[in-house]
Amino acid sequence: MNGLAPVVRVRNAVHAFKGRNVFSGLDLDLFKAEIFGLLGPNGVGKTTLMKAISGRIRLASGDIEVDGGNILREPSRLSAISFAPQEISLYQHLTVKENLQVFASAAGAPEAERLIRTLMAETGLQDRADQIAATLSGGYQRRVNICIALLKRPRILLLDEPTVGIDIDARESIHRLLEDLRRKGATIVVSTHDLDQAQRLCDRVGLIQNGRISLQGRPETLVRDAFGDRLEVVAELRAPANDGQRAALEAAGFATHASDVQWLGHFDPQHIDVAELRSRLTRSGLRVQEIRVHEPDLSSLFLRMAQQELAA
Amino acid sequence: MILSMMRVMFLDLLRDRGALVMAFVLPAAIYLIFASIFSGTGGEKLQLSVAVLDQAEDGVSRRLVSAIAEDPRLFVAPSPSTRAGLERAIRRGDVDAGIVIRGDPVQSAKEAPILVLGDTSRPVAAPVVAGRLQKILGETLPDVVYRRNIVEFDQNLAPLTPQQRMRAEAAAQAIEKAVQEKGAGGRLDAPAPMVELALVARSSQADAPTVYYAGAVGVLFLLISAGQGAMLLIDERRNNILDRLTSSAGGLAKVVGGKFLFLTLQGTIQVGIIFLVAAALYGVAVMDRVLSWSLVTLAAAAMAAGAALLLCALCRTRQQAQTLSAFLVLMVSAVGGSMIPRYLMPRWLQDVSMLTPNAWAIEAYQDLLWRDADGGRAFLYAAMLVGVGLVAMTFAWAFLLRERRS
Repeated sequence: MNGLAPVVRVRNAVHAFKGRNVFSGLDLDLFKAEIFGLLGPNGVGKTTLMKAISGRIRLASGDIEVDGGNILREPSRLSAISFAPQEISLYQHLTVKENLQVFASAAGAPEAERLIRTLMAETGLQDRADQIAATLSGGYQRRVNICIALLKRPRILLLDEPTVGIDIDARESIHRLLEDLRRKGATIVVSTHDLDQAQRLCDRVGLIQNGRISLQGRPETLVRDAFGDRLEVVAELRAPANDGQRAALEAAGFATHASDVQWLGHFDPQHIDVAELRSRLTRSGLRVQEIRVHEPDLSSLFLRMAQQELAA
Repeated sequence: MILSMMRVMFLDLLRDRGALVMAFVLPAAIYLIFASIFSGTGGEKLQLSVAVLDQAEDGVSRRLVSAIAEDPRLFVAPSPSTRAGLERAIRRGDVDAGIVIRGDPVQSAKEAPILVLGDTSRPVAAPVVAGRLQKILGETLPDVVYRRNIVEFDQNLAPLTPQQRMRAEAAAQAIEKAVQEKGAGGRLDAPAPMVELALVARSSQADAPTVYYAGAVGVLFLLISAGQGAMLLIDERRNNILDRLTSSAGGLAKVVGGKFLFLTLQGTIQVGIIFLVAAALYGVAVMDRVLSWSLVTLAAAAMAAGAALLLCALCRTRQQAQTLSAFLVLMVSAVGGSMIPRYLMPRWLQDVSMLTPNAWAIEAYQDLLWRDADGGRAFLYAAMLVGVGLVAMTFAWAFLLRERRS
């Protein structure tokens, strides 16, 4: 990235679990002050990659370097990394502050009380300091989960699904927290299924596919490279199309479908005539509910990739 | 880190009122129940209930019935009017034993004039009642015993002359008169008996069972409570808390060590409360050997802590741990004497029970607080208990380490 040396460098990572290849030569570079989105379906190895980078699991082969030093030969490099698991990993019977005190002690954090006060202020937890964790909302529990990871004052923060199962307000709040950390120079890796979140939050994203990062870059660049200036037209049907109607949809330019009743096509803006499209589809017997036009995004890209892979 | 772990476990216990009661109130309550049941079963304070069927209905038998009623060790229940009714009362458990006065205790020669009926479910009761009857006859009806001896001598050894019989009867009447002059329940100053029973002096004022059950209930609840406390380890593994704690400077050894120390401390306090109750209510002399007692208690608590941590390290869910822990605790407690005293077990089972930590702890407490032993064997048992605890804790740590690396 702009000739900068990566903070984390993964090279030719190979790993297998229960006889199944998880990574087969995976490469990845992470840079200072960026939020990197790790994307891919369940079981593809997102969590495993984070655990490998944080030193929790050992690769079958390959190298992981932090600031140029191999983490196996120089385990002290791992002190720069903190990992927040997807599970809410905190003591439910303790208060927020007591949880932070326990994990600060485990992390060997100096001046723990001051650090805890600072972190609670940074993560918006100061008003909940004396609340028992079990009584916190999902969003606040997620904040505490991340706050615990920050006790090491890491330069590299690995977050496994940090916003899963929480409401929009809580998610936005966590986004603001992560953006603030990035501004302060942290390298943040976020694994997520939420492509909308990845598009809005991440500076770069990478898709794990077949044991490698098959696609990576800035979200807007990836989308532009794939679709150029074309817009996405979505045809919502009232009933699934039969074989003849499918042919008519494809002939009209709707090449992919998210479901039986949702078809997508990518068109030059000058050539989009919604009324004409509706009329054409209706003539072929399709019952069209709605036709929408919007800019393509990461979801559009990954849907197309998934269908291309399926077709291949 | 070790202190942090202890604090986590302390707060876990403190904020779970049920667990708190289970750990510190219930053991003392259970001990009180056991001690109340078993104190006084050593013989000194034993009172058996009997029913008396007087088939002879003469002057001597009425004197005997009256003497039985006045004996402090026997409680006379309302008596049935037939032998069958008496046997039914024994079978139903209405009385511990039955006494049938079948005929004149002096003249009856073909069969024993007094029959004691017992039940197989209370095998000790009938012999104890028979012994009491011998004592009552000797002390309260000595003239009857004297007359029976004369009759036996006359019939079986050397026939007496009429003159000798008259002199013997005169002597018997003199004895009878002397007893009557003593009044109701009067006892004659008899010559020294051939056999006398005496108990050795002890420093402890407590009953043996109250000491026994303080140790027995203590070690039983040590195992239960340590198992309950150690289950936090399962939650920590399932929620990735352990992974977070041990990925940094703290390390797994400190986490396991902190838990071990807390459970040992919790167990020591728990057993301390039981013995405090035992000392206050039953006079168990804990304070006389408080240092040795503390050592044995710490050792027993360490054993329970290590065993509980190992069990929770081996189990993946609370359900697994609860089931396995209930099975193991019940088994070692039953065999080890925490439920039924070891001396009531068959010899072979007593030998087997010495393989359990419960038996080591109970024996150590008995040595220190009841048997007035010098403590050498108690310290050996304490060393064995600590050894088991440390080995189990080390295995727990090794298993968790292997699991983390896999």
